[in-house]
Amino acid sequence: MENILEISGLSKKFRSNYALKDISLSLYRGEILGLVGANGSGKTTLMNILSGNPLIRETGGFTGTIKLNGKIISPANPSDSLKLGIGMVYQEFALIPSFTAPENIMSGKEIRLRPVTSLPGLSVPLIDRKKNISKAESILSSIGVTGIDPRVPVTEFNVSTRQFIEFARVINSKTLKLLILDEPTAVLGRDESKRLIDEVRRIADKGITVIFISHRLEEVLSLCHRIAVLRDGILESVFAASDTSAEEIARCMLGGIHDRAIKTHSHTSPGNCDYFRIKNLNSGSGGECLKNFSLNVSKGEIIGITGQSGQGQMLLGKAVMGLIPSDGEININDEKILPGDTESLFRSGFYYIPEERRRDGLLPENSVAENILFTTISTKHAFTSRSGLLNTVKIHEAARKYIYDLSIKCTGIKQKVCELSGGNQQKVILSRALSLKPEIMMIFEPTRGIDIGAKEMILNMLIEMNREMQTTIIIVSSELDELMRVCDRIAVLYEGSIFSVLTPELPEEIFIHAFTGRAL
Amino acid sequence: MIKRYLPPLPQIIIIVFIIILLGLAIKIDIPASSLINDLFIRLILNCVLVISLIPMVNSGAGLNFGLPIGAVAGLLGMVMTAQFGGKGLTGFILSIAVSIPFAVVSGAVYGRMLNRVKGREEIAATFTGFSIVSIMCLFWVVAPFTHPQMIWVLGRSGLRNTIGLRGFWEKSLYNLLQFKAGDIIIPAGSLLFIGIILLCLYFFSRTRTGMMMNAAGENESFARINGVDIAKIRKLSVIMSTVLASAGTCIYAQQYGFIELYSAPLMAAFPAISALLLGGSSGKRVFLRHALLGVILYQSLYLLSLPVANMLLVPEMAEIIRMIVTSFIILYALAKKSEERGDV
Repeated sequence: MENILEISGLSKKFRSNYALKDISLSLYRGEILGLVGANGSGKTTLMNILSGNPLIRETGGFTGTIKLNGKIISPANPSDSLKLGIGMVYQEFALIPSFTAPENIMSGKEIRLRPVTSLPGLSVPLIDRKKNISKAESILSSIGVTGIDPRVPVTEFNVSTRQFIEFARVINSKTLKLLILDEPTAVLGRDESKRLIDEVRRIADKGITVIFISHRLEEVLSLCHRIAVLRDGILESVFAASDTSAEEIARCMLGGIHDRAIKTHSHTSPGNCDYFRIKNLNSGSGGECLKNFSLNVSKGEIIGITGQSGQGQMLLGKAVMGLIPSDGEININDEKILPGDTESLFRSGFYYIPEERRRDGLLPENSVAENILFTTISTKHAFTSRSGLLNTVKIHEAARKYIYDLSIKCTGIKQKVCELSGGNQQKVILSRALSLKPEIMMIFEPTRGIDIGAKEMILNMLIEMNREMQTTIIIVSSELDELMRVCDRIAVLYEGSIFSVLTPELPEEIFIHAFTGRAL
Repeated sequence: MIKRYLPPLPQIIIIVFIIILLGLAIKIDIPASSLINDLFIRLILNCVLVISLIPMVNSGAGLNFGLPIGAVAGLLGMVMTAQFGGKGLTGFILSIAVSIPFAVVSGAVYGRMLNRVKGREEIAATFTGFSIVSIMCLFWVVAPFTHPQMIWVLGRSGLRNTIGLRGFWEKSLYNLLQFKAGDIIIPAGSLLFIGIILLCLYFFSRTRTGMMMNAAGENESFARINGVDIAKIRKLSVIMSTVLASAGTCIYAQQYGFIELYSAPLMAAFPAISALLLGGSSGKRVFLRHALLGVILYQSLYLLSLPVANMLLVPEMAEIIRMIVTSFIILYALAKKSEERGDV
């Protein structure tokens, strides 16, 4: 069969980290390839390269070759790649909000009237509005969308209609050879998803190659011919859809479950689960949502929360802290607290360590010492002398102790924290938690982006904190193997609420089933 | 690496400009002692106004383009003190004391408003300042002041445009503890007074609240999840800035010898802001040294450009060049700030 796209030896570095490493992949005409992988596995980077996102050039370009129809290409911007025949439907729509649906669909490809003037260099063709509208309508109706008012700006439509308009915009191209869909069904309901999938199938039958990115494995399995799995920037494997299963793909995506022995984690059996309770938490942001999320945690346990990406787990902390709009109820030690009431949360000994540590977890320009002890000072009025001034001597003393205990690599307590490496920054954040001595701590992706040595050390610290200070710990992580080693219980999230709560001793098949929303 | 140790571009330009001006000033025989004396006076006039910007910048509420609000509170304090016959140093201190409650109240309201327009503080502040000054123009006309030195000679009501402070507390702080070293007049009292304000702010930054305020400005989401009540701390910073601006206005009037009412405070924010930016702050985090360096550079620029331009060029040129420099610095700093934020 005829190869339309050939990627060979493709690598992309951001600073010193590989986002993609030595990817080789070829796609034939009319093929639908499913692309799956956890967050941060490199899917978006790969798509950005193909669609000519300027970010790639700005960060130093890529190595390796991409051949489209046998010709080497290197699109510098999206309009370049569109000319080459690569169209992309973005996860966050690329529609012009104040334009109408026909204007968006026809944008850049307007049907024009004869130019008004024909002076050299001053040709000003007018747009034929009527023809544009009827063309747009015919495209929309070909994908089963009718009854769109051509005078209404796209912001007035609901999210699923906008998804279809976006889709129509991209397929409105005569030269389209490769269509990239980034999570097109994330915002759609079941019926709409089915309609879109049928449409994708029809487009592929016409000889257009499709790359379909989705977290919904069932969907990928039913639609795609082959499924490529990315993990940590490496193309882990390519399955033929006909002889694989959701379980196999999930296992490949998460990886490493077999690589390490599961340490038995001796613990008292979970209590009556009434120490920390979240009741009917609802929230939504960036395509993810939490729907009636409820969780009961008993004092002194380590509970893991996991799931495929995009199931709402990353919103949990932000929703509890009120960083995104949310409603529901939290109970700590029988005290009722509303989400976002940070004062009460701190008083009850709750501490939240966010996922984005560079952005939300550190004061980058401040010293290591200040970063370690900030929260202890701000919430507990510690290290403050009677005059109201901070006791610098004691602060430095305490900070030195943590730097020594956790072997944080820095030039001294006064070094700016932005100059430290990722693992050491994570240690600074953990020392902050240690100094705060929280009763209950919610930590997100504690081991993301750090090397193996630091990973083990941080996991050990969490276990130690739990053992010695009886801290209740909620770990939200996509690393199932790590959760299995440190947690007493593991809750699996599916589509915004907890699908099942499992114990780490259970066989992994059960987890993998739970990931896809099915009980064994 | 070299880039790290160089001062930012506007500072380099200004320093070069000042060196050129200094060379010219020496060439046309302007005595150094008079330059230094004038520099002290200009420092006293502007220093506290520039410092007043610091709390708001550090809490993330932006450059205080609404400085006229504090200035108006200061004016209120002064005319009330003058009305009730305040004189000398006591009168001056009293004028600051009377203006503080006005500054606190207006600062609290202003702070609430700035919390509502988060992300667009600077433009909102500019127009708040403009409106307050305009509203006060009405007030000055109808206010029931009766002191003959303050009201219009004709008509017998309404405050004058400019109220001379001779007979009230003109230069009372400047003359305090003043001594001469050769030809140079050292206004020790004024310097001490400003020093105390600086010291207070320094100690404030070493308190828990000060630390939380700086964190709110540096990384708001960090501050929020680490127990800082952003709205409250921002409001506090706005109150502090407004109070300092009102005190700065009192010091300015005392040194200048006149209370200027009506549209005088309209543009008060701009020279202060460019001085601060000139000191090397990018508009995100300011240290006291930025403010001090900025005010010295900016005022020496004023000081030198005027006589030099008068001698060498048409006199109006000095004013034009100053306007260009002031506006350029603000523009540069704002552009740099958006760049850091990743908007550009």
